[in-house]
Parts: sequence; C-alpha cells; structure tokens
Amino acid sequence: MAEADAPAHSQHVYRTRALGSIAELVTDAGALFAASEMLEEELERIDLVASRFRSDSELSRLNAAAGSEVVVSHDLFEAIDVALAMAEATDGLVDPTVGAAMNLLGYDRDFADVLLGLDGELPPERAVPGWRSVSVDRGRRAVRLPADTSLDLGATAKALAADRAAATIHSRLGCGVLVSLGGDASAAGPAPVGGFDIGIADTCTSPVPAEAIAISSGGLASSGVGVRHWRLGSHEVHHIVDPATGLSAAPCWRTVSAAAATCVQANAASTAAIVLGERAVDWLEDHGLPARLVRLDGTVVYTAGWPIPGPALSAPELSSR
Amino acid sequence: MAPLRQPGPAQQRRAASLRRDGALNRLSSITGSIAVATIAAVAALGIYVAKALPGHHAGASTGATTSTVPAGNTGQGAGASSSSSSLNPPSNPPTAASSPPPVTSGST
Repeated sequence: MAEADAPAHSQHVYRTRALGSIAELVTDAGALFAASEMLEEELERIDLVASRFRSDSELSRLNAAAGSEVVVSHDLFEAIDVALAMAEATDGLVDPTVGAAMNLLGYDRDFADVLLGLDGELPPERAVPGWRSVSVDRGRRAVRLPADTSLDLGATAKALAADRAAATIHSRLGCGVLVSLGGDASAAGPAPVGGFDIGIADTCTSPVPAEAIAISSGGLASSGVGVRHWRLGSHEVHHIVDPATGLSAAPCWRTVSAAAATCVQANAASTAAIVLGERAVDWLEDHGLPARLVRLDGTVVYTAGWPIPGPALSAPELSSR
Repeated sequence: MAPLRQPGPAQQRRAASLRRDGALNRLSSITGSIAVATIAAVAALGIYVAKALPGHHAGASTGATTSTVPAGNTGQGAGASSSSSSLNPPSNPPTAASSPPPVTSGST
C-alpha cells in the first residue's frame, strides 16, 4: 500500500512495495502525485520484462528459449545491454549468466519460499557460461543465449529501473527527484540544498541507519549478504554468486554501499565488491568510487572520499583508506 | 463635336485581358500570403509540440527549485549513461547528511 510522508526542506516522499522490496520517491510536493504514477509505470514494466520469478515475464520466455535466437522488446534489450555493459565494466565480476547457478542454489522462486531453507546439496564448483557467450544483434534487438544458460538481471535491472524512473520524472516534470528501489537510489535534476539525504544501513528496512549521507547526482546502491541468505541442506548460502565458481561469493563483507555516476554503476560496484572480498578496497579506490564496506564483524572501511561520519554516528570501529 | 467612338473589338479584348491579369495577380498574392502564414503556423506548432514531448524539455525548472541548486549540479555526471561499459564516480561526491534521511540504502 502506498503512502506519502513530508520530510524536511519541502521534499516529500512517496513509498510503496514493489519488486519484493520497498520503492521510494523523494521530490517536490507539487510533483509528487504525477511522479508517483510514473514510478508505478516503470515498476510494472521492469517486473513484467525482467523478473526471473514470473513465468509470464519476457525474461522467463527468453531463458526458456536458450539455444535459439529471440527478438526481444526494447525494454528487455536495454536491460540485457546494461547487464552486459556492467559485466564488461567489472571484468565479469557481475555477470548476468548466473541464472542457472542461482537456480541450483535453490533461489528459483520468491525469496519468502527460499528463506525457510531447502533440502539438497551444494552443487559442485563450476564457472558460469559468462557474459561473452550471450549473442546480441542490436539492429534487430535479437538475443541468443547458449543452451542451458539462464540470465539473472536482478543485479542491474532494479538499478536500471531507478535510473530510468528518475530520469523520466525529471525530464517530464522538470523537478529534482530521488528514486530508491530497495535501497538502490538514483538522483536526477536539481537536488535540494545539501543533496538528497539517504540513510546507510545493513538492511534497507532498518529503522535506524548507521550513517546518513547526501547525494546530489548519480546513484547509490548497497549489496549485502545479511538478508537474502538461506540454508541449502547443511550449507548456508546467499544470493550473490561468484561467476568464477557458480557458488555464493565467499563471505568477507556484510554490506557494501557505493556511489557512482548512475545507480546501475553503483549497483555493479557494490555487487562486485562483495564478490571480490578483501581485494574490493583497492579495486574501489582504483576506480575512484566512494564506498562504505562493512565486514562481518561490523568493522567499517571507507574508500575514495566517502564522508566519514562524526562521533555521533560512528560505528564501533572505523578505518578509512 | 466629334461623335463618341465605341472601342473596337481589339481594344475590348485588351481591356478584358488587363482585367483578367489583374484578378490573377490579386489571387496569386492572396495564395502566397496564405502559404507563408501556413508555413509559419506549422513551424510554431512544431516548436511547441517538440517542447511538450517527453525527453525534449528544454526550459529550466521553476525558479523555486532552480535557485537552490549549485552550478553544475543539475544532472548526472560524466559516464552517466546506463549502458556505458565503465564505472565512473558521481560528478559530486556524497557528503554527510544534514538532516534525518527519509530513505535508507541497505541490503534487500
């Protein structure tokens, strides 16, 4: 059920449930209603196009046709194009061909059904087919997946929806806007003085964020292993798959939040950081990406200009690079 | 006093020809004016529609919000295209928040 709040400095919030999480919109009061309708349209479209859990989604039909060439809609082609671009940008650390590996780990249905735990054994280590195995013909919007390959666009499609919704709202209404889909946030247009304030927490439903930052452009995203994890037989697994092994990435960070030029890029960076483990700090610094990384024991590491909080908001232990 | 002479057939044809040419010139002038006015109206309508279409917003935002925005802070930074195959930092780095945040970013 949607609701609207009125936070500080004349920015208003529209909040609703979508994509298995919470969708939020922050903008001027006068633009809130029209903007919320545009957001709802985008949410409906991305779910119908890119959901791995809806049998009637276009992505499900594409996955079912693996081995054959399929002409897809503009929306799905864009989602695949963006996923492949992020795979290239991260040297394959964030790879959309993890779908089959995710299914073998049991995450082939709504998370509420997975959360209870699953019977079965951990599958053997096996690299995923890899993003380079996906053939695309831009002119005809045709896509061919190798046989037995399944795409999972979850890492990038939600962030793309946030970028698109924010850009559309700003373009049509001329207002500044922040769109946050499950904590993946995108800002477009004129930001309020000081930027759009965003709490940073282990989970996006946390009532008390550990820190609060402000962004005035681009995107912010968080990835973590603290929510979407479950038992598979006697093993604990989570939803961020290491493409090199086809298994859940070795746990190192509980949560990584990163800022980038777009929400898609921020999401790719935070997901890649989870896969990289300890090497993520240098990797983020090399890319100049501001990030906050929380170890499993709660220790926090900051990179590339992420604002380190003052004493009032500080975590138990802090270190910065 | 000389009798009034009736114009001859040749003069009558010439007079008729002059009247016809004059009428045609006036008609041509009116048609040209209508054509120019039509082109101008279509051009004006085209500009109006182009500004109204999504993605063609060319004007600045309303003064109330525009006045609060620092220069160079009205959009996404370099490399902001969603399909760009690179990772770029935001054009403005994040800063510490000044008020309680209305939204939270975390694992989902």
